[in-house]
Amino acid sequence: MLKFFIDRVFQGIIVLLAVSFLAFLMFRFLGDPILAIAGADSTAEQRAAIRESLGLDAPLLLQYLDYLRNIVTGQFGISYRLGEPVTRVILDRAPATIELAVASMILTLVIGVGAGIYTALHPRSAVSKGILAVSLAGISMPSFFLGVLMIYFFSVQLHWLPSFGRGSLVAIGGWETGFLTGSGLLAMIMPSITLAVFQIAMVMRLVRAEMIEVLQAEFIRFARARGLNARRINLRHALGNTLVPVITVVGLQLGSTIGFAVVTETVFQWPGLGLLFTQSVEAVDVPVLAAFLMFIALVFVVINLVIDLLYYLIDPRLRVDAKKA
Amino acid sequence: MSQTTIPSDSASIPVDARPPWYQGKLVRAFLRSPLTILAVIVLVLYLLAGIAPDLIAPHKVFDLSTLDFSNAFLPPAWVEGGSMRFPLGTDDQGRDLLSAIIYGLQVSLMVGVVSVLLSLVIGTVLGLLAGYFGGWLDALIMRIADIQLTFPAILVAVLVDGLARAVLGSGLHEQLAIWVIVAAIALPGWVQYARTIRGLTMVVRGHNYVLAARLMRQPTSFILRRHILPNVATPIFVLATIQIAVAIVIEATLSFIGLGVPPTEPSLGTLIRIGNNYMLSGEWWLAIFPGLALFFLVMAINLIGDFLRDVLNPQL
Repeated sequence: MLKFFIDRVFQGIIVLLAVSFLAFLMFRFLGDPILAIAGADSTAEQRAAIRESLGLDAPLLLQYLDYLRNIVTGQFGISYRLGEPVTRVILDRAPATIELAVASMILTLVIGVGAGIYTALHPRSAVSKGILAVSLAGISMPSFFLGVLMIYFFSVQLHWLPSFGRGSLVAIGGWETGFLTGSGLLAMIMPSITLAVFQIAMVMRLVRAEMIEVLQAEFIRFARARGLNARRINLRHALGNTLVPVITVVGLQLGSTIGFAVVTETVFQWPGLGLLFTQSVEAVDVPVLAAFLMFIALVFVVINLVIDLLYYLIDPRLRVDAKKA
Repeated sequence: MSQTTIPSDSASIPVDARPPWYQGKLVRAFLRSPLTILAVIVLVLYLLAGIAPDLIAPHKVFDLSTLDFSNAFLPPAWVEGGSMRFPLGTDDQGRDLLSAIIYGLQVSLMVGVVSVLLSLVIGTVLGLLAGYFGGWLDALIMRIADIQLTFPAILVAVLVDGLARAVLGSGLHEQLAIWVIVAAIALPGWVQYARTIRGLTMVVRGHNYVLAARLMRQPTSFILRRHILPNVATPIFVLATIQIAVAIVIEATLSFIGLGVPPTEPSLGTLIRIGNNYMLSGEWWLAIFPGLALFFLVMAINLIGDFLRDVLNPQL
């Protein structure tokens, strides 16, 4: 167990180092930090002085180590576009994206797993066929277009939901949340559905496929033969055994949730990290992009680590294998 | 798959060693599936429109002399105020929306197909090398694939686009934008092909005919091309079909958020983005119709991909 864990952490650190080197190269060679600081009408001596004071005349490897030290202490430089420290910009925007991701994750788990179980238990019912048809549409529907469609129906036609922004927020400590106000929750409905729809369809298909397979297994027939009630068999014995692949996919999806948040936030002008990212790409705001790269890499490494550990806790077979190895 | 490979450890030879699509199985299954037939018909129509928009589109939308501002913002033909000359309505400059969609389709299909071909080639070559040679080369390629796989394709594509902007400068980027997009979509795509090909190659590598070829001192490149590639190719076709849909959606998404193809060559995503600006003022058709065109295209490809997977290799 410990060896397995250390291996994974070690791999994660290597990934982070590789990504940080990429971020460093971007930061160092795209755009000219000296020109950005000294201004276009500075003299050659002034630039040389700044170059020396920033340590940019040092060997590349030393500069990289310097950059690493800054990253570890949370310093990513100043945003070209906003003129504020990158770390503060990112921390300001993070709550909006995290709340959006959490809301869509809840939708994914409740609807996706629920519909998956239902269609697996009642494969021939009309409701199941309807759900499957909708899920095929959900996989083929580009999420930004779903957002556009919903804005048209629910904002333009019916005036039920706001078409942009987060509504009114409540500050708890440094965290501004939209979960506690009516308009905040209303504003969250369309963006979270847009973000979740692809994942709902995927999780549903996965749960259904796994569940159908497990339901044919010997131990389920044995449980039925023992006369256990159907509810207990379906939920405890069958569902428990379908969870491992579902967790991987949902976990990896959490990563692409962040990816798709870029799109959803643009559609709904949601003031989170995704919108920041698109704006930074358009403005070629290199310090923000480099920091973003590191941030995403960190999130993915952590997610992958947690998934591996969850596997371990859920599936006893892995524990046996790990002991043998 | 199982029919195509000869087990190395026994003398038994499969009754029919031809790939599944030679056996009429594909055609028979196809004729039994009305939904797939419909999807193929839809896709063929899309392809015709995309290959020869000049023949099919009712108006030459890029010829500025044909535009008439008095036709601006006409609704679709069946809505009051619409005209049969512009079946799906017109945009702010009096451009026929149906024709704009048909020309946009050309860009979307081109980017989708070319980027999938590119990642297919990269992934196949790397997968063959990793699977055939193994060792450190395999470890290196698969490690890179693992890292790549943790980043969602859309993020990689946005990032590549951003880097290209920084490196090329805005003028050059404008000219090369389509190729930047193709590269940005192809780059994250190679991993899936590489992983699939690698796994199959590792199995096929040990088969008797490969060993025989090696004993005959046939060149390695020849063995890879003539003996291994044909035996690992089937699942790649299935994967590529589905990936074309994914690539088209990524391109549309990038264009929608304003990072994709330049406005001078509008794709379906660009049309939806422009149309979205008029949504609140009531000109709903400008965003909805290009979006529906995109949706049905992706749906048709997904249906065909699902069908191929079910028939050719259910284990994928």
